[in-house]
Amino acid sequence: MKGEAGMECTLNVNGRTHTLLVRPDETLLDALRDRLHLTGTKEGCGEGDCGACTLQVDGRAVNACLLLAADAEGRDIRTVEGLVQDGDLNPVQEAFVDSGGIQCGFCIPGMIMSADALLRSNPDPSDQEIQEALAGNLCRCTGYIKIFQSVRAAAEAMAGSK
Amino acid sequence: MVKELFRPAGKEEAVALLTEHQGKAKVLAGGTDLVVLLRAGKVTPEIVVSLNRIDELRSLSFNPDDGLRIGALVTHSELIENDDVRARYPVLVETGKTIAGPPVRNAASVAGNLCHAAPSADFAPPFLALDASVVLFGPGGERTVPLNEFFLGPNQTALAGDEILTEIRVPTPTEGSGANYQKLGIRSAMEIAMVGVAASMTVNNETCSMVRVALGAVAPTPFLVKSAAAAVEGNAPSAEVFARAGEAAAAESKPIDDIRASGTYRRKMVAVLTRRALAQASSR
Repeated sequence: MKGEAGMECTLNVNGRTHTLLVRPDETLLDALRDRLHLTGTKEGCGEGDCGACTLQVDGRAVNACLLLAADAEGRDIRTVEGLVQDGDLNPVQEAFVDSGGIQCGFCIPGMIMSADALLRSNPDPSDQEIQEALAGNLCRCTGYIKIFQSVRAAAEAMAGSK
Repeated sequence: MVKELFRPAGKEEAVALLTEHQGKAKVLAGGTDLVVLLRAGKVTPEIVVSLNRIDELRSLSFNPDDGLRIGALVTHSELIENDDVRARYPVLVETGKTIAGPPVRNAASVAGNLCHAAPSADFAPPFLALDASVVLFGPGGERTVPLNEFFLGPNQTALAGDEILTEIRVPTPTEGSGANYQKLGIRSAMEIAMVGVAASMTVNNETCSMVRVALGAVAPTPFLVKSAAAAVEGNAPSAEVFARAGEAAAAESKPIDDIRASGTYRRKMVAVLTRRALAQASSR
């Protein structure tokens, strides 16, 4: 049984501030999708096992389904929509497109958010480190080879453009 | 149905809320256990008290006199990445890396792993082996509880309804000491332990001392196995000695059959993992 959306909270999402009313136990995932209409972040399992809802909070990849929206006040939240720069896909997004890393696409925003977080802190990861960084993101379309190749291509593109 | 979420700025305020709403409140840290339970309807608090605005709980520090102090909100990732932890408590790093995956580790608090007190909590055996204690804060003030007195049953701890855990304390390792955690499972991530074994010892002049062996996932709570430690204490490290300790640990374990493994298999694996954990700990 759901309670009232009676709690006001202010969220900083993709560099913009939004004030909204949420239920006390409403997850960040639901608030982003249903109230802010940022549907790039997906719900797969709803319990932190699949990673489809991965986004970045204060630069770290986290599961949006496990955060309460009202408890995310004051933090820097970035969704896959926020990676786009001046209308252009960021290098990680571009690499997934160019490398054929996308099948049905459902796991991809989460994969990209985890990969993007990896490359910001570790621009030259080993193959092992790429796999470990994506260990919390499941793909059911047979993934993972082209996904890892996409992350490798992104790392190379980002290194090459420096 | 959760009626209200409070986000107190200090631990006194948090405890006051827990006292006022005793029996109807749950504490929120990283959320990776609580939010799952809330969404599944397995817990139904009226009130949730978030600790996430209490900055003093984010502290993580080491000094040789006090040892390691882990604030209640320190995440798995923060612990794993800390230079002092990597240098002096590598067992905690290797344990952290076996838990879930990066998005969960970036949010989940180490303290929450202990407070949720699943019988299989991965951090429990290593902290028991390291002789850790926990600091609890309530209306009467602070008290320190040795970790081996903290776990009372599945998801039950010594925390009173109006107390919060504020800090985990780990003594400075003695010279010549080493520890190891062995986790049994079929995947390399996103998995609950079928069996968990931690061992810690000091080896000087070919003699093992201060030996501690702890088991997880094979009893209602994680626990120290005194007989396994006694089988090693005072002896030179050897495969035979570790094998005897393994048998002792297996004999004291009380694993159940569940979807992940049978009790019979788990008991046999306790012996194997205890040998391995002791061997690894002795070689550090």
